[in-house]
Amino acid sequence: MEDEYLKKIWNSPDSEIKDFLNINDQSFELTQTRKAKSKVKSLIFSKIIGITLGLGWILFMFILIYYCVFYTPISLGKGFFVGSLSMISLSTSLAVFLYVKDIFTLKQIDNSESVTDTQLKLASLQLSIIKSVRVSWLQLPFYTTWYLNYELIMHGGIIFRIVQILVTGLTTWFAIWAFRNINYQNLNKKRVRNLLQGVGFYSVTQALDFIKEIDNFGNDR
Amino acid sequence: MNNPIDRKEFVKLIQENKGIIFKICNSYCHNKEKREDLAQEIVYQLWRSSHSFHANLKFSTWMYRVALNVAISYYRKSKRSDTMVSLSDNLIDIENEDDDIEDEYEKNRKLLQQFINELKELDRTLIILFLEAKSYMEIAEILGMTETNVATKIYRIKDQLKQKTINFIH
Repeated sequence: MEDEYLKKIWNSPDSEIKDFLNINDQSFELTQTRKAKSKVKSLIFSKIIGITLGLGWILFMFILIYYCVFYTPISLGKGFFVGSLSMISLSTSLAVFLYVKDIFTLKQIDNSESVTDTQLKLASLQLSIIKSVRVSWLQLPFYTTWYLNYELIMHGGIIFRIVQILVTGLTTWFAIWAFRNINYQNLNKKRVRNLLQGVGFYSVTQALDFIKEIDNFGNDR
Repeated sequence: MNNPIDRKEFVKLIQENKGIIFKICNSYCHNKEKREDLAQEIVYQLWRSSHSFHANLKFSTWMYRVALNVAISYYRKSKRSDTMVSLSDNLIDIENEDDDIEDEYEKNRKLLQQFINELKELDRTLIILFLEAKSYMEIAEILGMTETNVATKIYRIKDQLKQKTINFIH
C-alpha cells in the first residue's frame, strides 16, 4: 500500500468515534475525581505498603535494642543481640530507603517528556525491586546469631557449636552470593529467578526486555 | 493546580482531538470497556500534565507525548491479562466477513489496524505518528530520537506492512 493510501484509510471515518469519549464540563469533573482515586495512588500504594512494613520492623528492632542496651547488664549475649539486631535494622533501612527513593522518582516522572525517556524511567523503576531484594538478603546471617550468649557458646556442646557454625556460615555465604548475583545480567539463571519469584519476577523480566527494546529502538538517539 | 490551559478550553481541545485519542486507544487496547478506561486515563493525565505545556512546544507534540506514554504504560500493565489476537486469526475473520463489508476502506482500515496492533509498543507509536502525517522532525521530538532513525524505522515498518499485505492477497 502506498503512503498516501495508508494515510487515507487511517483517516477514514470510524463509526465508533462519535460515541467515544463524549465529555463535557460536568462529566470531566467526575472523571478527574475517579481517576485521582484509582490510578495515580495505586502506583505508589505498593511502595507505601513496603515502606510501612519496613518501618514497623525497624521500630520493633529499635525497641528491642533500646531495652537491651539500657535495661540489661553488659554481657557477650548482649553484644550478639544488639549487634545482630542493628545489622538487621540497617539492612531493612537500606531497603526502605530504596523504596522511598522510588516514590520520589515516580512522582518526578513526567508524561510530557519524550516517549522513550519516560518509558525508560518507568521500566527502570520496575527493575529497582532487584536492588531492594539483594540488600534485604544481607540480613539473613544475623537471624542466626542474635540469640548467642556466653552460656551457649561455652557450654552448648560440640554438636551445637558445629551446627551453629554451619548454619551461620551457610547463611553468610548465601547472603553474599545473593547480594553479588541478584542483578539484571543474571536474570536468566534459575537460582536468581527463584529468589525473585515472590516479588514479581515476571514484571522484572518484562521491564528488562522493554529497556532492551527502547535501547534498540533509539540506538542512535 | 495552576494550569496554563483553562478547563473549558481543555475540554474543548479534548473534543477536537478525540479522534487521535481514539486511534491511540484502539492501537493499544483491544477490549472496548478497557479502551474507554484508557481514554479517561489519557484525559486525566493530559489535564494533570497541562502545567508542563509551554508555548515553545506544539500542542500536538505535547498531547501525543502524554497520550502515547499513558497508552504504552497502560498496555504494559494490562498485557498479562489481555489476550493478544494473532494477525492470521483475524485475517480469516476478515475474509469470512468479506461479503458483509462493502466499503473497501473499512476492510483495509481493519487490516491496517490489525497490523498496527501486531507491532511492538514503540514501533506502534512510530507508525501511528507517521499515519497522522506528522513530520519526521515532530515524530523525533515526540519519541526522543533522531530524524534519521525515525526515517529508517518507518521504512522498515512499511516494508513489513508490504510483506504482510502481499501474503494476505496471495
